[in-house]
Amino acid sequence: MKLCFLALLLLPLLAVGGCAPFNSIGGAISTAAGFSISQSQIDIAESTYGSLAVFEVEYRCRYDNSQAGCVDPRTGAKIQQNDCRAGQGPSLANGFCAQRAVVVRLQQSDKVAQDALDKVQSDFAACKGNAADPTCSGLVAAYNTASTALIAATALATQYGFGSK
Amino acid sequence: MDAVAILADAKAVFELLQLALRAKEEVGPYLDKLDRLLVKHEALTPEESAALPIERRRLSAILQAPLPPERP
Repeated sequence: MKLCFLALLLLPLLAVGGCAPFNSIGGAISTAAGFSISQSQIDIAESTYGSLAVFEVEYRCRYDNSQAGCVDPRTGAKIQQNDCRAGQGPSLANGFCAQRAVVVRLQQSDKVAQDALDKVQSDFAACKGNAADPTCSGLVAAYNTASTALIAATALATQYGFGSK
Repeated sequence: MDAVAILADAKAVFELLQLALRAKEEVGPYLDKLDRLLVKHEALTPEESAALPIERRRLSAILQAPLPPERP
């Protein structure tokens, strides 16, 4: 079930990563790679990754809730830590048993995805104002890198079953 | 279908409902934007577009904060 939900999240990522022509909302840039890139596509990637990041953050907070942002958005209450320390064991009431190694992997994949999204946005802005490179060769590379990073991040989230309680 | 299988199905449906509710509540703002972008083919306003990376970085800052040492 959680896989179904994450698959729904993945669909727009695939739409972005599939390099299919989109509409021209937001002033699409036609690239030499044969497809166009628009601000709307970048917004889709941002929105979709944000959806995923909510669950990534929750997992981290299950392991270590010392960050001020570790609150349940529904209630405003601190997210209960459930790191399965020796002698304590996981508490069913607190949900899944978070592992440090998984948090580290999430941090790594998040860093790649964040950098890739920032690069796409900055290259898009630069490309719009650069008449010398109308096909935006750098943007295509950044775009493909971001697509790969987002799909990888989603796959990792699916593997560890975010959203499960 | 035996009682165990029926209970397992009921639990699965319940979990699905829980997940759907959580998704609606927690990622609703993002999903609303996806609906507008993908289904209704509406563009976000420049202000909405500009807000997306800010929220993404806020969430990332929580995730990326240094972890405490490995616990026993």
